[in-house]
Amino acid sequence: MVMLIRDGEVIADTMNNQVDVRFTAELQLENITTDAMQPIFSLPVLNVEIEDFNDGRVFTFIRLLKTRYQYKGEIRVSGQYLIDQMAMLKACGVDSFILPDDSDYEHALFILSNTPENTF
Amino acid sequence: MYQYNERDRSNLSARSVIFQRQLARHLEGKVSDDDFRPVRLQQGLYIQKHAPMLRIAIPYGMVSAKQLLALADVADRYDKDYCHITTRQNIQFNWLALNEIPQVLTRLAEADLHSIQTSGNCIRNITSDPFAGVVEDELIDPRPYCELIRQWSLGHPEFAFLPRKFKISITGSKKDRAIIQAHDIGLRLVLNAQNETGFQVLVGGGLGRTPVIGSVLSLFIAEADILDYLTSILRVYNQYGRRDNKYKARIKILVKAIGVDKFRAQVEQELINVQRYSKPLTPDQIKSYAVHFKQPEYDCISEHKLMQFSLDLLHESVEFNNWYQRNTQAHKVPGYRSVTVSLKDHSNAPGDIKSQQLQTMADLSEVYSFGVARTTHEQNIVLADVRIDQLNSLWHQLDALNLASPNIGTINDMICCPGLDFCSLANTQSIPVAKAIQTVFSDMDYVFDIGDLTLNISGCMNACAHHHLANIGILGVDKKGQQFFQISLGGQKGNNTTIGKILGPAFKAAEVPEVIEKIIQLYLSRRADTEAESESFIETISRVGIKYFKEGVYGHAH
Repeated sequence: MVMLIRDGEVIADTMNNQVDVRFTAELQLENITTDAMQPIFSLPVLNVEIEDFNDGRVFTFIRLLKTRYQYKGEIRVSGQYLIDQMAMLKACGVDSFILPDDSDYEHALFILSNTPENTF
Repeated sequence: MYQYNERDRSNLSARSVIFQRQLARHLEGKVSDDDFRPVRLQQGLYIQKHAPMLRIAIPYGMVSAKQLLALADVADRYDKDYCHITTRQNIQFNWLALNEIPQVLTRLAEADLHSIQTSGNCIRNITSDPFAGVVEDELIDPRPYCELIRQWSLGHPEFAFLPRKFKISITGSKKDRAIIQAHDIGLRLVLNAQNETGFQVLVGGGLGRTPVIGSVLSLFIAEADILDYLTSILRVYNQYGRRDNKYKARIKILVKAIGVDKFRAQVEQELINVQRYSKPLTPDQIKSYAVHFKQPEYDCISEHKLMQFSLDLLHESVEFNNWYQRNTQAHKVPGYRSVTVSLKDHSNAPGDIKSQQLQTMADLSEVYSFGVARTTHEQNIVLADVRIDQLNSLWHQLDALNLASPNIGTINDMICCPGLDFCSLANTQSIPVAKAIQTVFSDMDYVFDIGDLTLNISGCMNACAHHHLANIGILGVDKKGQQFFQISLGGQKGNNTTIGKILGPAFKAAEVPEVIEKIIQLYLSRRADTEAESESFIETISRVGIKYFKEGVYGHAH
């Protein structure tokens, strides 16, 4: 069981939380094509593990999953992102968050519900 | 200028509350320095040598009287009674206390000011021509587009963790006063053959360790498509810019590495993808920004009055005439001039302004210039809309506060970074060198005789003072713990932006003023004067070549 934040609530999730995409510095974005992504498109939940919060490619990657690749399932992130990045991740298309260890859930919920939206 | 609406204010307030919580969590030890760094940088907060530095965004340099008063108040109550205008038209406070930052942000927010995205690896404050909307050679006022792009980039969720910082500058004039060739993206408003408004787009310009002049990415992007095009550029950069070495992470390195043609092909491919899911901007949307920049209600000045003023000038003092010549310039509306208020008085570090001066500037902008001032990347302030018959009275009031040095565009109007005295990146003290040079050139008749000349001093290779683009550039370098200064000649900004060439081995700080004096003497002895005008310093360098100066400074041995 894992605690996660989805739709502005902390919930316990009993699903298998395997990592589907490890977003590391070695990940080559050139290799991400519609064909290469086919096997994971059918997953109801896609867990993207972030290795380094400075690697901002992940924001574009997630946005493209939802728009260009039309992924219809739930995008979940885990790993070493910052709580202070959660509103941006959500705006790019993340649906649920497995928080980094020892995270402050109250601060995370505050960030998610109070960050103004960029409407462009 | 742009007026905040209720949504802008509530968004700013929400961001301010979030940052206060983030800062409190850090001060309570709940967030490590490493995790807090990107958060504080995106809020313009640097941990500096002596105290935190907070950089306030002045969008494309436009600042209202109310905002000048708020800045004066912060300088007075929370800082050492002054602040500093940066080379990207922003304002910095250098001596704040970390625990008072929330109060400072609250006070600034009362005047619709903030520090968001003035640092960090995100899209920074948009800069532009300080004479936008008033200058004669303007084709299209860039400010509505600056505001559009400001709003698009503020809090953009996809582009807040780019490989490195990202700077955009926009001009709408024939003559570039916004250094568009030395920005990550430089935009020039143009009309196409069908008289439609669009942009020429430059990419990959920049200074710092690797100075590069931007390349033309597109000759015409229609205004309706500009955000999609910017998104495409940023997306390609975000995905493929280097992240393994911060000195190789700017977009200029990516463009150089793959070549502008391949980069363009990637951007154009991305644009096709972007436009499958976006809508072009509508004329109404664009108009909604333009309404904020309507022409102020200028008085109609009669021909008779204009002529009278010209005659009156003959009877004014030499001091006023010098100031009129150097510090005021033509305005598109007859009977008005734009005034540049010099922050390069000998008693101040270049670009510093005291709280009382800011207060007076607020009052003067109300009385003489529709309540608006503009900051310039040359670290001065512009009152853009002054009636010619009020110039004399304005001059007297500026002069009383040491704000009327008639030195705009001269060797004394030098651009200088804060240097080692304040900045934790710098390795040399740039301000004392600036002051020593100003002392050598204190005879204004001599300064006027030298004429137009740009001199910029950067305290380290990050090049905040844009020394590469100065006619005389001075760069501080550290050699085994000792400060040396390297001199370059022939740089220029504007339509023919050129990177200066290094003259030769660096000098000790104490030697710099006499070397500059020598360079000026070499120029004066070779300049080709006609009856009508003197050849400018940069023209002489272009004609004579740098070798002549090199030999004159170092002797034939080098």
